[in-house]
Amino acid sequence: MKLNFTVDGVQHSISVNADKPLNRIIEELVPSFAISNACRNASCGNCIVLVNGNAALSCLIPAFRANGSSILTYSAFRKTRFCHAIERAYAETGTRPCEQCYAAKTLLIGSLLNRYDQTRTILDVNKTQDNKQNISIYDQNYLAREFSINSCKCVDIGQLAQVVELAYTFRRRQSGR
Amino acid sequence: MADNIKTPSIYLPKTLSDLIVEKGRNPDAVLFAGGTFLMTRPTSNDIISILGVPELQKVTHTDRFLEIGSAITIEQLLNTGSYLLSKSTFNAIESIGTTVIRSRATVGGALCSRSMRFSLSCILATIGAQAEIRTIQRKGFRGKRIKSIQNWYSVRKLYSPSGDFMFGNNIVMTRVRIPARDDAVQIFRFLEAPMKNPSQAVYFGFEYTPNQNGISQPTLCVAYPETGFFFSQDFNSGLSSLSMPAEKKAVDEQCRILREKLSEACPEITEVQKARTIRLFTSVIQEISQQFMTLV
Repeated sequence: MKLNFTVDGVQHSISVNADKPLNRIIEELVPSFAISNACRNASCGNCIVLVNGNAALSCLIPAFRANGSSILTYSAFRKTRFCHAIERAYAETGTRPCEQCYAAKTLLIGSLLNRYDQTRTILDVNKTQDNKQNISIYDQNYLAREFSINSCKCVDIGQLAQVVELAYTFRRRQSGR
Repeated sequence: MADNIKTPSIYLPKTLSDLIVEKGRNPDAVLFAGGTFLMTRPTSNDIISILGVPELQKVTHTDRFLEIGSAITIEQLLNTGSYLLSKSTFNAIESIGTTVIRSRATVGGALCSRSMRFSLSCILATIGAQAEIRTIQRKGFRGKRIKSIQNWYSVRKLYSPSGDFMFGNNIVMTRVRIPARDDAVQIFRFLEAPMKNPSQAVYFGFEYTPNQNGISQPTLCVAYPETGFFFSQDFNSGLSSLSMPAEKKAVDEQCRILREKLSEACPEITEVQKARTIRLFTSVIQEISQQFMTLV
């Protein structure tokens, strides 16, 4: 099938098998995406990319589902100011994920902060406290569950929670809030 | 050698009737929704993607029930059902995977998977949800006319005691109806991840309505990822006679009955799963008893 999609801001139009997993397609287009230890089976969580702004495991997305979508890998995300906030938080807390999971964890934090920002905006607008899905980046259990998608345990969840909290502070400062 | 490699064809129906016609023509084709399970089990069968069918993405909301299309993701179910689902049901659904998985996995996919049961089937069976199943039939000369018959089934009846999905390839699940019951209390316990440790995982669901003497309408539902699905009307009826706070002797007797029923209905579950189910049952009954003690 003909697949039209954007990877890291570059429009691609390629012919692939309709059921080919997205991670294999991106590996061919973005050499730095190649993951040596990827399980290709939704177990390791190292192949995370942002699909239309949301974190997704690229091994679970077949080519026909990626048609028309906008994909951001870590190679492009690292150039954004949101990534700078996360990297600054890594440096400040002295926490750094290993090479294998660095990209996945950073993208996951980026996506988490995006969602948290959106949810806070909705809560502010509706002025409701009744929403059960009141996610909090300050809740360590919530973060532990969200990070369980990535099987690499190189960083303690307490340290990751500090990174997330600090990255959010830096991000708010960047946005002038 | 390359001749033997078959690339599956992908069908992208835009309406429900297109989907039914396509499935009728190609009964072996796999219905693809979120892909969170199917992508981990590659298939050479043709694929019909149901995500472009607007009828399967609908959400209807009344005071009595929430009706959702089968292609609704679990994350969307949480967003739309947050005001109707009880807190414990909401938390149980929220404990399925992470946001990354929940925003891909669909309700229909979680219920219709043939080789594996997920916690959502236990949750929905416990709270008495129903599913609309369309059975596709070929009629007329050489089976050229394709028709579908729709029926509502309780989610509890979708699975055999051995955990198999009861329907054949010629069905499409279209809607799921989740009832709102303000008076009922639900307790859910999930042990182990289904994909990583299927032989030890247990999904335990218990619903009851508290009354003055004890509990009424108790519903116990236990699912095991690969080997069983336990729901016994007899056992549930027997539990109704349990007065609260429950005495140790009465709880032990119910445990004995449960052990017997489990061995009879789900012989393939492992000893670990059986022991865990009994322990969970005991702890849940004790937890309910404690609540009655504080009430007394």
